[in-house]
Amino acid sequence: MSIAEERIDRLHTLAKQAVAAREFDRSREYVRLARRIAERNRCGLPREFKRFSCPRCDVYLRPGVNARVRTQDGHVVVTCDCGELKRYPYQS
Amino acid sequence: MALTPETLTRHELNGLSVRVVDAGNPDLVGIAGRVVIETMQTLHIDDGDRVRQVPKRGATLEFALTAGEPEFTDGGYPSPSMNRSRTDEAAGRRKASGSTFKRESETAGVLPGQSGSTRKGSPDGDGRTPSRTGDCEDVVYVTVDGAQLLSRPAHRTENAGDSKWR
Ligand SMILES: [Zn+2]
Repeated sequence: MSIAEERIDRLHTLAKQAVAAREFDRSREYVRLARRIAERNRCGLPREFKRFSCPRCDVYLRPGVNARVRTQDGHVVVTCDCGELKRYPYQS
Repeated sequence: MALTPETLTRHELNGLSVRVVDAGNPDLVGIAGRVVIETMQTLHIDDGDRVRQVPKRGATLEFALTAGEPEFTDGGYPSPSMNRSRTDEAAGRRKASGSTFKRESETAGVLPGQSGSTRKGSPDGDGRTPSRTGDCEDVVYVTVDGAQLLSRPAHRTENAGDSKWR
C-alpha cells in the first residue's frame, strides 16, 4: 500500500470522526484533501469513500447525522443535508 | 510504507499528536495536541482548549507516533507531564549522538534561498531524529524541523523528503 493510499485511508477515518463530532467543515477539509491526493497520485478513492462523501458540498456523509438513506425500486437514494441526491443501484 | 519516522514528512499529519518544541514566536512553544488541519505554511493544533495555528517555518515539532492506529487514540498528546522526563532524557541522548542543533542551523542557513516546496535533504538522516524510548510502550517521538514540511499538504507525498534534485 502506497503512502498516498494510506493517507487517504487515514483521512477517511478522520473525516468520519469529524462528522461524528459535528465538525462538518473540518470533515470537508479532509475529504477535499483526500480527493486531491487521489487525483495527484492517480490511485482513486475507495468505494466507501466515494459513496459517503457529498459531491456538492464535500462533507462526509454519516447516515443519521447529516445524510438520509432510502431504498427505492432497484436503487438507494442518499440525500445530503445540502439537498444533493445520489443514487446507487443494488441487486435485489 | 507505513507511517514511520522515515516516512513521516511524506505522510499524513492530520490526527497526529504533536508538541511544539521550538518556534519563532515564543508564545507558541509548548503547545501540545493533535494536528487538525494542515495548510502549506501552518499547522492547526487542537490543544484540547482551542485550535492554535503554528507556522511551520522556524518551528521544531515533536510528533508522537504510536505503533497502532494513532487516529483511534483519543485525547491529546499522551500525558505531557508524565512524559516530560522521558523526552528530556531522549533529547539529551539526541544531543549526544546526532547534534540536532547543528543540523538545525544548517537548514536555517539554507532556508532563505529555498522555495516553498523543494527541500534539500542533508546526507545524514536529514534532520529527522527518531528517538525510540525503551520503557514506553510503542510510542516513538520524532523531531522534525518545520521547514521540512513546507509544502502543500497534497503534494508532500511526492516531493518532501528524499528528492535527489538540488
Ligand atoms: Zn452536500
